[in-house]
Amino acid sequence: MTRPIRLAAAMLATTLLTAPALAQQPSSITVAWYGGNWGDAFKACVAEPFSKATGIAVNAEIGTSTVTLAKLQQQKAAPTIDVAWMDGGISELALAAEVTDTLDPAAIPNLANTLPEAIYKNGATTYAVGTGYYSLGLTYNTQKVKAVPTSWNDLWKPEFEDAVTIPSPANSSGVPFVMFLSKIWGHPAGDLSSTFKKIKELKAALFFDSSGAATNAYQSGEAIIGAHFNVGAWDLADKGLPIGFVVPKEGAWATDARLHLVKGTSKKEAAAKFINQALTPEASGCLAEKLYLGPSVKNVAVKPETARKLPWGETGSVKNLQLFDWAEINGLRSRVVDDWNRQIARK
Amino acid sequence: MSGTLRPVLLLCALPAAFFVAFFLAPMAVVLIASLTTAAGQPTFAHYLRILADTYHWDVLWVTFRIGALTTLVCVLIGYPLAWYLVRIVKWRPWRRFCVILLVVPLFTSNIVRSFGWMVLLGRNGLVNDGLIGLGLIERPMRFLGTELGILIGLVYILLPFIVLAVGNALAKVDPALEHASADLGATPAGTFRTIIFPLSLPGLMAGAVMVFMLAVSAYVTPALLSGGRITVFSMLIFQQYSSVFDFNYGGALSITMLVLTLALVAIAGRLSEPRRA
Amino acid sequence: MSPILAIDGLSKHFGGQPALTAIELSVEQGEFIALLGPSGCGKTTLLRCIAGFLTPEAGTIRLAGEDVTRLPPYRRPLNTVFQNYALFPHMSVAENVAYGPRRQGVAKDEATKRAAEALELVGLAGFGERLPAQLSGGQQQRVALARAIVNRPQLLLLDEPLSALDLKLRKKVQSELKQIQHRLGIAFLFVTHDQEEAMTMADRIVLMNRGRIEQIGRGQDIYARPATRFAADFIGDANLLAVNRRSDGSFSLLDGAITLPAADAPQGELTGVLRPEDILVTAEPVAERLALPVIVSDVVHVGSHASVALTVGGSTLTARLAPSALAGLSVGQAAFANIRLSDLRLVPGDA
Repeated sequence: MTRPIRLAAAMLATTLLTAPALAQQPSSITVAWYGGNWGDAFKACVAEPFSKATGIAVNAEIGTSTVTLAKLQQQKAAPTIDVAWMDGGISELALAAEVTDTLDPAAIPNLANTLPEAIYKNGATTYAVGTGYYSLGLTYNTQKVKAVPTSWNDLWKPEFEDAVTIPSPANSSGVPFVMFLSKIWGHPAGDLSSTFKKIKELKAALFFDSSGAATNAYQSGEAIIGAHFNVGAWDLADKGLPIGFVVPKEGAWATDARLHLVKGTSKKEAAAKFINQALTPEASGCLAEKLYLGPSVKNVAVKPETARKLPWGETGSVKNLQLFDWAEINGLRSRVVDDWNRQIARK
Repeated sequence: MSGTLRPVLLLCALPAAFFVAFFLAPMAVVLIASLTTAAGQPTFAHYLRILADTYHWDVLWVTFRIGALTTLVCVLIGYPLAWYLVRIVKWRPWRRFCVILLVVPLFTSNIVRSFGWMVLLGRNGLVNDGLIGLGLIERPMRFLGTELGILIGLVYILLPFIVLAVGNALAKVDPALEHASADLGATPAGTFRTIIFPLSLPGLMAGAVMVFMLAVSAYVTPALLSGGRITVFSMLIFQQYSSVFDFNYGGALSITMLVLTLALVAIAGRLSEPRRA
Repeated sequence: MSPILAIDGLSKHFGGQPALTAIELSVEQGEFIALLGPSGCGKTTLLRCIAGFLTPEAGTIRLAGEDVTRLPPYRRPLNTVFQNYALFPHMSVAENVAYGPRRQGVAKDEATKRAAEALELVGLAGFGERLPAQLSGGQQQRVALARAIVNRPQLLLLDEPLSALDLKLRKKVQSELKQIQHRLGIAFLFVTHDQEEAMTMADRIVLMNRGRIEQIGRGQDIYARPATRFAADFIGDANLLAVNRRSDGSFSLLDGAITLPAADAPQGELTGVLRPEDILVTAEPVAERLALPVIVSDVVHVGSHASVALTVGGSTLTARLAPSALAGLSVGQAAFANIRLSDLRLVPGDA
């Protein structure tokens, strides 16, 4: 009984090993992206036009950036994912974990039309490309907050006592936000003690660990001012709630959703085509309309109504965004979390 | 291997494989990670870092205090509730309805229910509106971000476990024992104290242990209802896995938590053990 | 001296269905009373009313002169041995037995001492530390008895206490129970559906049927002089004969084979009762007896005696004969059933 099975397994293995060499165009590729409206938008803006143009079907592998990275690490020997979306920060960890392949400008001609800030290089080679920015800006209740806030320091005003919310380190924006505050306050790099001292003085209603918790807090009136992602804030405003979103004078911390070519994929050519599709002005504009992602592609035209909701605000551009060096953030990550735990998340 | 033995072995291997794959293997992975450095060298450093730092003991104290209070409140509310369902309710459809009411929330997500409490317990929530309306308080009380808020959420989510465990134990007590007790001169209160309560104790303990374990290991409810202002141990673990990516230290935190919880449960079990059993 | 238990006009019904009707019963101190009847006759309901687990709709229950009809069980000065013993599984044998004294406010040492005495009385000295689950059925039964007598009640209720024991053990426990009752001088009210058990153990039998008391009396008196058809049928074996009342007031039985003169017999439907051992079966008629010509239709040997079925016209009689009296009788043979009219009793009730 065992002999036929062993034989079949051997034949199967042989087929799997030889198949990529034989296949000219695969019938499908697998792309990892996020759940919810993000996944819906990626599908509508990138995957569907791609399948239409090439005839290659796209299978979605849904998960958060961290989960996707964990999968890629496990599948290192024989990846089943060909292309992966991962956020800034995780992208750098993916590079360190050696699961990303080089993006070749010859195979992905649209790289030439992409903002230089959105091309991520490791030495001379490109390992990731941004497909759109989102920011953590100042969000407020337009009924309860009379004067439009202009500075992050407004959160410390006594009138907002017990009604402020900012991210906790459990949120992906939590650690970078602490460093962002340190930077805008001009505190010495690497010494966060005065930054924490000031955060400790903040009379917060809550420190949100998920975007959903933040949305909930603004919706219920638990928080009337604080930080939130532009996507989440405008979602609330679109539902008719009195919520406003501004990029304060100090700027807004931002990051992006990036595409990666998975190292060792058997469908490299099709995968590169997919990434190229995501970098078309049409795809970038579509993501801006659906997710208010700031386009990473040059010369993308969006409706004025959408332009207002982009991460850099009504009049800004990518220059207004505080894009951090994730290597620096990741280096300080464990210390920031630890200090936060001991000083802030404690009675 | 004989032909008849093979199916039997396969049948035995299946549950064993399941156990290994879903319980033993993940545990082993966590345990090994906790005893190695990022580079894979064996070390006790993670445990030393946890145990030598009073901060971790503070968080453990908060965690176990919330767990113990949750268990206590669940027992205090759950026992009478189980009594009501098993002893007072005579009309079967009503009893069935009550049990369904109790069990149905178990099928909805923790996250949904905890979000519900966030809305109810908020400054403009129903609870505060009610208390102000009744004239009991003047300004909205703070529930979110307090241990009281976490306690309310955990009690709500874990109460069914106690009620079902105690109800099951109470239903099994032979009514003849109560008659015998009354016959021998015990008042109803005396019968409860000396007969019914001791006989329902194993069910109560089982329910309490379950609630305590779930309460100290709970993440979602404390995370949502603490508003990031109170830290319980599961949050430290989650942070290491989700934002710091230090699986070695995170693993050591998990094992510490597991060992301490099991030790506490074992002590509780020993204390409540009947003398002879 | 007033009776230890006096029940007067007691009635109880469940959802409109009468369970007990107009019960009158008096039990003297130290008496052993058997409450006998088929299942569903109300004997257990009566016991529960006395113990206080049920409240009757009408009537009174007095214990040693005190009206306890509305008192809760724990305030009644009596104890019960339950059908399945109802021992407390989480307590040792000694704790089970000491439970009663402890609830009465007796100090722990004294209660333990009394429990040990009670256990010794039932022959279980040295078993105190065990758990009930570690005992045999017979031993559990004795613990239940010890627990019930430790408070020295004046009345002990026993709810089919032997029904869970096998036959041999039951016989042994029956005599032990009787001895203990005798020694303690406690009145026993013993529920059973086993007429033999009732006959062997009880001073008096209270025979119940359909929620009513049919007859109260010593076992042999009920056997010899059953008050009703039910009593005749339930206690011992009986030939129950249809009775026709003639226009002249006399009675005809077995299609006129037997005629009884008009007498002050009760009104209404009557049944003739004839015990099988009162019939002599012979080949020739016996002097000074009424000899009825019969056909032997069946002979069944039951060890100490034989049961012989006889056909008289369209009816069947059963006779009980010593094996020696069987000589010369075979199935199908004509014979004579010799009876004395004084052995034939007319009782109320339809045959």
